[in-house]
Amino acid sequence: MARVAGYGGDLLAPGIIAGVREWSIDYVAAALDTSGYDGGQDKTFLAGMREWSGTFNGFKDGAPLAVGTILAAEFQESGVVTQKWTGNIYITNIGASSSVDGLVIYNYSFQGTGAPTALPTT
Amino acid sequence: MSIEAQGTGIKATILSTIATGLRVYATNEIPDTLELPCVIVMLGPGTYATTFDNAYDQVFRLILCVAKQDSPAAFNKLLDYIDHTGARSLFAALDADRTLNGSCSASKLDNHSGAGSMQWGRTVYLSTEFELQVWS
Repeated sequence: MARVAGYGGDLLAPGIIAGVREWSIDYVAAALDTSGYDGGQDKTFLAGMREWSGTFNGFKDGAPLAVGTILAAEFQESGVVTQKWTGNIYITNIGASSSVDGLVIYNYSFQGTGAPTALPTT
Repeated sequence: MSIEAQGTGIKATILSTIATGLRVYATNEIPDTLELPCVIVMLGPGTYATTFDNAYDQVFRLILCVAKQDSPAAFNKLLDYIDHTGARSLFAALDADRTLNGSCSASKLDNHSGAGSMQWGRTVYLSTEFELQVWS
């Protein structure tokens, strides 16, 4: 067992996107409520459809990505080949911010389309 | 670009605007004795791996020495270099090329320490220190 330092990671889409500092992914399955009058007070559920989405952000370094773009993305947790998420994503939202004593920062939101083609293991 | 290249980039940027009357010592040419007035480019703190593609932040300390004693004329000369505009303004010189002669992505002369003194080789100089933030 070993913990994983974030700084060894990366985001490729499919090449390196320069300036990225953080990424996050939410991979969720819908919980379909199957509770009925016959179940008493404890609710019951069935697993429904799955989807994944997330965000990434960092310093502006070159041309920003375009909203609506579909990308083959690879979210690396580290340099270890099994520690990554891959799949196709749509850029759904772009935000930019700037301050006089810092660098211009871009925030992106994305929606995964289809299943992730690779999920991280150990 | 390397830290050394940024040091020489700072020198080139300053001298491209303040062409006469000021000597600049880059990080790779720190002298034993100073010729005045001068700027000594010293290394400040830095931060590694600020992005996944291994960018880094580096602070440079620019020590400006104008005279060996605190005379009214020397103090006035110090003001010329500290001012944010003018022919001798270090801020204006560095702000004219924020890539520091192509050695970094961006930079900002952040602050100065005000009038003070600095000892170099047993000699005390009227001086101030600027802090230059550099983003690789």
